[in-house]
Amino acid sequence: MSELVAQQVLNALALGGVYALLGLGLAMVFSVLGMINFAHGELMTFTGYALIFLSATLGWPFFLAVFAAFAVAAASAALIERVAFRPVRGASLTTMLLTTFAISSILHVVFQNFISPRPIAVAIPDWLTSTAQFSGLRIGMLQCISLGVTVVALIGLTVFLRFSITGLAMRAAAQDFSITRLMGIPANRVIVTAFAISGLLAGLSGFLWVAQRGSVDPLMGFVPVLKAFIAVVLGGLGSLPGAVLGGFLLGFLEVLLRAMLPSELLPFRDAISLSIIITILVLRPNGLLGRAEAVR
Amino acid sequence: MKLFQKNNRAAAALATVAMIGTPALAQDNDLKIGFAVSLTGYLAPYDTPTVEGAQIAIKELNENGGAAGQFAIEAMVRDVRSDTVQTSIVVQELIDAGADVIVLPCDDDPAIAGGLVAQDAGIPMFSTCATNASLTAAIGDFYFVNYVADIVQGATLAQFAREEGLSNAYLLVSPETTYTGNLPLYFGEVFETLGGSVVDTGTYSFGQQDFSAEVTQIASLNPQPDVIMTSAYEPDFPAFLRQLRAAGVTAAVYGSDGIDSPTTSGLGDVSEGVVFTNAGFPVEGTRLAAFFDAYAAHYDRPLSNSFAATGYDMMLVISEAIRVAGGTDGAALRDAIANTDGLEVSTGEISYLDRNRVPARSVSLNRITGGAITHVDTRVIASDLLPESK
Amino acid sequence: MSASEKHTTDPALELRGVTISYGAIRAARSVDLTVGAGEIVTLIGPNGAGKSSTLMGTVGLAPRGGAVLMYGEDVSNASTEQLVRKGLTLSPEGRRIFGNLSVAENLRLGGATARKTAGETEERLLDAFPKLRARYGQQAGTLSGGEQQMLAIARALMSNPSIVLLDEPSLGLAPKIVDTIFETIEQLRTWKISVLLVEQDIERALEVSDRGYVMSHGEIQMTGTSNELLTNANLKEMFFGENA
Repeated sequence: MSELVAQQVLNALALGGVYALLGLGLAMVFSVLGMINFAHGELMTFTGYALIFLSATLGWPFFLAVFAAFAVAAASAALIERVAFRPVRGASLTTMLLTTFAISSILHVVFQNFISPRPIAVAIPDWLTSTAQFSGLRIGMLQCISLGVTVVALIGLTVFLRFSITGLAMRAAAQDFSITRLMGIPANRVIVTAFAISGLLAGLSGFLWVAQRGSVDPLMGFVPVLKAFIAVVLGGLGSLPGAVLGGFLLGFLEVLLRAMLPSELLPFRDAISLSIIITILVLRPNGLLGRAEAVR
Repeated sequence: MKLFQKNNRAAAALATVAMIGTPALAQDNDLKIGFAVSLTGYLAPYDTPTVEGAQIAIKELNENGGAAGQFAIEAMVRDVRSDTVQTSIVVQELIDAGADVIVLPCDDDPAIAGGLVAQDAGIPMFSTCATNASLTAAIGDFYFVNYVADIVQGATLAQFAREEGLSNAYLLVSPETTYTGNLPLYFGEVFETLGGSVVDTGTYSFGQQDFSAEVTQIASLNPQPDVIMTSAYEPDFPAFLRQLRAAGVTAAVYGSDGIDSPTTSGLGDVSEGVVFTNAGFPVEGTRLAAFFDAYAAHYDRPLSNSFAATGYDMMLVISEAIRVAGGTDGAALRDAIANTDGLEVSTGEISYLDRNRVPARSVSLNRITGGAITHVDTRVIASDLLPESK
Repeated sequence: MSASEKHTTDPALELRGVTISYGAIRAARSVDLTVGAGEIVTLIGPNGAGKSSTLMGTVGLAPRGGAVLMYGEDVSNASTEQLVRKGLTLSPEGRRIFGNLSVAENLRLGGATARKTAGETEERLLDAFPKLRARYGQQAGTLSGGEQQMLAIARALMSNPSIVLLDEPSLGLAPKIVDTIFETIEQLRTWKISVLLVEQDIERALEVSDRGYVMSHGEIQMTGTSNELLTNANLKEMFFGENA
């Protein structure tokens, strides 16, 4: 029994890690522009297509293709910022939000019409989906990688945000964007960096997502961006540690409900988990780590 | 309200009179098929190939003088973007544009929304691949199921599972659609009728990706199931299957036509032995294999599933019905379709006679071996084995 | 271009017909104002007169019309970050320190444009504000109001500016801390930094400054040396009669 619990905790950690990466990607852009980028999920999709193109079509080694796909994700995020968001910067929040939806639907149509409306299979090496047995505990390679990638990404991001000037500026911008410019730091640099990092995080989570599902289809970004949005709101909009906490909490909530609920209640588990989240938000309207001072 | 309806009908009657009054004799000799289908959105992967298959049939028929050799077929294809409201709007537009037959999207909700409009107008209709037999009751007597119905697939799979000597089943359902929610239950019902037993039923959500909790539970079931049946499709099915095999569960996995996709066979070792049904397998030398070739020649890419074939068949059914009815009148066409009996189509034979507008059509049982789909059997299930549609 | 000569004679900062408008609302109308090199100039006026808007507009953080010149060079089209690199900075109203960053991180960001000299400048500022040294690693949001104000000023000075705009530095602080703030402002003169000061404490502000401008309803109403303004009867009535 305790093995079963340990197994589910491990499952929850791995899933929560992916949600944390996703949430962090959304929170990154939110912290500098005050806007949720709903096209974030399409960056994941794009990562998947890039992976297929590089590894299957061009025949690159799998690892090389994966890392190149990360770079593609980061670069396309920065490109989307340049082409789509910069022209509407300073416009009302509604305009910006509509822009993110517009980009998302344009990319859907582009994927459907120029790539394929059907899912395309990704050849994932067998070792990536293998499992090892440790005293009754079953540890999947992909789970390990998920956890590893999450930990490395979180540490890397923490170092960047703590010690580099651009990182400091991004944390400062999360709190007060105009005064950050008053530090002589170009707004564009902060914003493009935020998008690129957010794209990189979308690439990381996109890879983990695709590795688990085995295929890429044009609409696959929708569900994860929704989960990430929930994680970000739960953790506190604008708080980067909050996004991570929210992601892990959502992962735990989902896995534990699925594992513990009696089967006749199972169909309601999404409703139950959302009710729990709403209850948390009623008690803490700014989210778990949201700052009350944000309402200046 | 009644008065308004009356007036409305009077106006429609007037308009009809006016149309008949104008010299529009040419209209009698053509057949307009209105496709209110999803070229974009989540249904695009199913509607698009169906329409592609239909277009091949239309081209072939037109080369031979049209439907029944005399009615030139005009396809009016409109995108409803997988949207329910959009479907009812587009169906109305197509009817206004003179559609004689309507083709609806592959899912219940948009099919019902558009279907009720066509039912009111008295125009025969098919859904590309909505497989819920209850839609015939929800929409009305002008609606026909085209694809293999859920009850048929569930029963065929259950029969085959029992033949394979499997006796304990685990069902994985998602209540989000009737297809994913009910088909496994139909399987379970017939499986138990035939002497098997269902040990447990689990639930999943679309796009949940992570099946670790479900898989951990299946692995701890006692007795272990020897067959796991689900109608999950991409991306849920590959994710589930991978995690199931990773957890060391070796039970047979049975699925339905939703996994009739290159992704499934492309999964590698984990998909070895997966059994699924679909509307037809292109066994060499058959008419279906010829259709697969025709498709590849026409679109310059290989066909990878059977939706296109059922789209092709649908046009053959319509053409035959026109021949019997002698024209495009809605009610006459409806009766002619309903009386279709043993018509030769690309996937085998199709009959609507005495089946309450749910066709008896052959179902292929397929198994994935060595990364490829291999054909196991093609059969038409006896109607007394069919469960009641929910 | 006889740039070098010009620099010695031109004022450090000059506003020509500066207008600040937020949509239909005009916060400031054709403001003309100069701050000579090394000069301390005070801008006073009742609440809502448009003083803070003028300062924010000068550094490019509020929508501005009209011209801004630094040492005779027209910088009207420069962005905020370019202005900072040219040596103009602002300690904003309400301090607006980065509360979720440490004191050290706030100072590091302040010195982002002058990284070579940042270590030196920081030492000098920590000497001037010993309290900040004591709180160096602490989260800035946990500092007292006075400490936050010192941090705001220090952060602005980290960029090695030649012109500093100070917006209400003494607002809401205890008298003893207000003393420290004004001592610091006087010290800026010895560091050869030109200052444009917006202050509620008119008398103390005029005491430390060379000249002053009086603003109300978005326009400059009056200007003169600090002594002239301190003894001006109209001004006394305007502020001490109406407001106090």
